[in-house]
Amino acid sequence: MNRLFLAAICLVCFVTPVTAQHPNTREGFWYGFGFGAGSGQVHCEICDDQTGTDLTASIRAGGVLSPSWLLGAELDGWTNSQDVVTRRSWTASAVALWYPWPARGAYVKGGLGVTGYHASDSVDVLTTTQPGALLGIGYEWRVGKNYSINPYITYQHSLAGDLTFKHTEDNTTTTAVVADDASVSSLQFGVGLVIH
Amino acid sequence: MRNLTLTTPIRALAALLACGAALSACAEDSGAPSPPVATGVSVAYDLWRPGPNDDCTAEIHNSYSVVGPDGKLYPTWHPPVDPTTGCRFGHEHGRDPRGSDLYRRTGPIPFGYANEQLAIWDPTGIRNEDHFGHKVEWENDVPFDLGGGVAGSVLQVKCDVLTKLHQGTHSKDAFTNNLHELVYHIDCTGGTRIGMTIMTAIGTPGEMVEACDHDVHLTVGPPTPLNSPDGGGKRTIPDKACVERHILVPPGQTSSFGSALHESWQVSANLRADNGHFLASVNPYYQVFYPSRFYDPALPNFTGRVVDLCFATEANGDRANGWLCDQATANGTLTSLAFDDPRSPFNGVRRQVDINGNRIDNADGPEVWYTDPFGNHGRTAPFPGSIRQVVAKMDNTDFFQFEGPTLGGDRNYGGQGVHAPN
Repeated sequence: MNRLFLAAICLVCFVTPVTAQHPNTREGFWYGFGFGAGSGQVHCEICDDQTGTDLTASIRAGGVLSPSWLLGAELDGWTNSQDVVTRRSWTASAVALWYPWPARGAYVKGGLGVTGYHASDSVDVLTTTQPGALLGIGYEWRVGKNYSINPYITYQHSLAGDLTFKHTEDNTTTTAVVADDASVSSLQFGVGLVIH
Repeated sequence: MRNLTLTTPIRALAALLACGAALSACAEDSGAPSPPVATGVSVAYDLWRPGPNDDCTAEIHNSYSVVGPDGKLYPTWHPPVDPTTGCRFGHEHGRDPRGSDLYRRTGPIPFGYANEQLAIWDPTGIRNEDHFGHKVEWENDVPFDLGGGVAGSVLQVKCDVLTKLHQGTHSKDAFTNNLHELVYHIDCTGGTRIGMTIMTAIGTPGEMVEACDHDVHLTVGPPTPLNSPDGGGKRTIPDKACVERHILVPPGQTSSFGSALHESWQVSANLRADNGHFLASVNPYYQVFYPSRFYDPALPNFTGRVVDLCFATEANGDRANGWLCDQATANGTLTSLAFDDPRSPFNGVRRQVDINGNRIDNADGPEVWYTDPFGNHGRTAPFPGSIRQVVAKMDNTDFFQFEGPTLGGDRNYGGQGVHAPN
């Protein structure tokens, strides 16, 4: 968690000197990135995924469709290590951002894409990759002519599908589908920088 | 289930109506849906007779019966004390199976059904077992051990388990005989499901394994039947040297009853198709603490009585000293106690079952197989002497570690007049 606070503080420090008020104009290409905290879980009948909150990261880029609509692609990731098990989840999505008040920075985000989950120890791996959707809200606080501080919340959930268990022993790997109803969810809180 | 008898047809009809309403197939996971009226009686039926310490009649005992898949009448679970009359049977069959979530599918367990089918399958290999040894254990929603790695961290499997093994610990039967009726039902989250009824071969026929040293196999005598197959697992049973070593101790020392008086029947049971393909395997361990007998090759029937050791003193002065013998001797006020006296704590009422692994390789199905009484030659249609088995249509052989916990270790089935033979 210390890493998360450090990243957020650095981001705020980077933009803090800019104090002038800038209009929320959106034109052409835009991109952004962010860091934060969050958690991810795999869900199924036999799942009991007790994860902790840990580091999340997000990058996205796209173009301006209108003053109220932005289209783009977004990649979100989350990782967590507890005891001998490391969990990771990621989502690659096509996203649309809607600004209900174009002159202001609040937006609602929706997207469709693919979500993956990967949990492993030294010999065993659990994985699933499924279509998914994300929903988020955020605010772009314009602190420069073409960049904004962007606090955001993103929730993602995938459709259900196979959860695969791989076991490696003596250079031999066996694979089995241990559940066919596995879905992945994650919740991210972050602060980012968006460049317009 | 008590009322499913030939002698009480009206009560039987009422019970069947109730069963039919709640259980469209009372025995979905057992042999087959039971016919409503018995067409005969099994060998296992009407075996029990009251002893001098029992006040229930055989007729009351026989009222706890069920019609098996073959239409014959079988004994089934009953409480140690008949709730209607208050009389005592003097023996127990473990946990009341009606509390199991699987009971809806299994219905009452017919004790001795696999033995009965064996007599049909192989008339030269008949194996009948006494009534006392049928012991039921179950637990609902049992979390399984998936290991300390990723599976144990991310997944959780819970199972309903209902099992019955004929495990006689009061007689010489198990010294030589490795064939015992096993009923094993398990239904887990994630799809693992087995409904198995077989005569399971536990270890090598004609021999037993020393409880104090599991590497020592004792050849005792010819088994029944003589053509008993060899099986996996083992039956570890206390022998004279073991019990004397741990129970008869020098003055000032305390007897180690737990070390001496612990039977472990380690089952390795499989279901196989006619072509030999493995369908399912289970390997539960059935443990009994403080049984009434031990193996003594010096005795004519090989059967020593543990309670006698509480009153014995060796030439060097060694003798029993500890809580169980304090009970048996009433803190030294008795000079002897019969092995079948209800006051004896050596009666086999303390038991536990280690569920262990449950593997299935039946991805192509079907879910219902008919095997011979040993669980082999599985076919999709019944045949003479066959037993209906249920195996989920799945393959979990490459799953994560999937081990069951111990059931029943905190239960005591004693009291209420229960005594050896039990």
